[in-house]
Amino acid sequence: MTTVATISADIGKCQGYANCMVQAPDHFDLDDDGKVEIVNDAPSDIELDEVRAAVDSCPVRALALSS
Amino acid sequence: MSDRTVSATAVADVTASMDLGWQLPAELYSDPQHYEREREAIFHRAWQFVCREEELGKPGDYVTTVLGDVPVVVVRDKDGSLQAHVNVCLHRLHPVAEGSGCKKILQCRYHGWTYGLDGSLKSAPRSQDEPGFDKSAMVLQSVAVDTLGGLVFANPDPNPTPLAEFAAPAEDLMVRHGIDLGGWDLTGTFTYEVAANWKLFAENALECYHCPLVHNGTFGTAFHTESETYICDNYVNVATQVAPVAQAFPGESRASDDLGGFRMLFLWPFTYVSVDDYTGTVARMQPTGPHTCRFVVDTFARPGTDPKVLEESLAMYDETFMEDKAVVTAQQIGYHSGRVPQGRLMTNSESSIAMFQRRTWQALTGEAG
Repeated sequence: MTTVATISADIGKCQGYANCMVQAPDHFDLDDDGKVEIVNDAPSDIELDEVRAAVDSCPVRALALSS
Repeated sequence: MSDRTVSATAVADVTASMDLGWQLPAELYSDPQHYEREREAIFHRAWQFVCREEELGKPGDYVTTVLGDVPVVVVRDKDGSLQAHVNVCLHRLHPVAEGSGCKKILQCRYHGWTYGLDGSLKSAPRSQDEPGFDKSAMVLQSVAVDTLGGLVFANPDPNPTPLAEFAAPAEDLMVRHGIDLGGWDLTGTFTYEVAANWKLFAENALECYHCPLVHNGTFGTAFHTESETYICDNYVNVATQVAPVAQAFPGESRASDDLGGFRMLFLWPFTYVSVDDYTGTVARMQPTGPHTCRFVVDTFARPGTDPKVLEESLAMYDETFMEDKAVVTAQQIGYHSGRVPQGRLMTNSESSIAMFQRRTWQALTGEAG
């Protein structure tokens, strides 16, 4: 299992749509303010497609995946 | 009494007539105003089947359903408790969950309002720009939820009579008759859209007086349906029906006397749970209007059942329900005609219809019936 990417979030942009939580519930959560909280920023190879879909699903483009 | 022509408007008159073997007034099976009264007095206050407990085994597991006409989502919360909410977003009243599955949150797909499994609003896009928006005050409408005999029930009324009290003595009866679907395989769901008032289909399933004629070749061939052998017992909100096997399915090697036969428990007003030697069903009525209803039947296979016997058994039940749909649809025309104000009940062979009608009349009027 090799970590190949890191998730980051722009909290200022986040509106709490929660699409990321729906797509990748093991990596994203919502904090008490309704903003995204990254609970695991290092997806494994087998998790990468799911996390990429979660990042791409954000309506306000508050998420990024960097390698 | 054969020339009886009751106007059926006075509650006391109807109550007295039911004591003499007459049925609920026919107008109650087609009148839109009466249907609205039923929504308030029955649909929104009754315990109704949701799923088996094992369908909600782990945190985040959820099931959506319709209780009467109220959309509901039942979920296993993070702390292991069962939670039930009206499945309607507090924004634009879209569902917050669809189908079934496992989720950490309930997200409305329309505008993205997102709720915790406990029903509290976690986020609403752009809400920080909305003056006076108090997220903490926004919680999905609550629904009561409880379990009985391995089955999950919910009630749109958030403060109902406790299920164990409402359904007494259902738990004992389920044990006595071996009605336990734990570990059985869910094989599918039959859904029947019926052009008849929900009470007609509900009542049809509470008597087997019609079985020798309507179900000759299906249920009436598989099981004994004579009055001496088809045993109906009635309680306040519960009824049971038990019938021995008459003709075993091809492929069944055991003698008929060694089989358990048909056993069914009814919980007023909507839920029927049955088992036989191969198949289990949980059926429920969903009223969809004064003249229409939906009959939904989850089917289960007893562990170890021969697949060919199971297929024959499921086909028998499906055909039986189609036969029921045909007669009930034809009845609706008669009920709507207004020409027969009250039908005469056969109180021995149809004792559970009497129980159903008494209970329904009581819910509507407060009269014992």
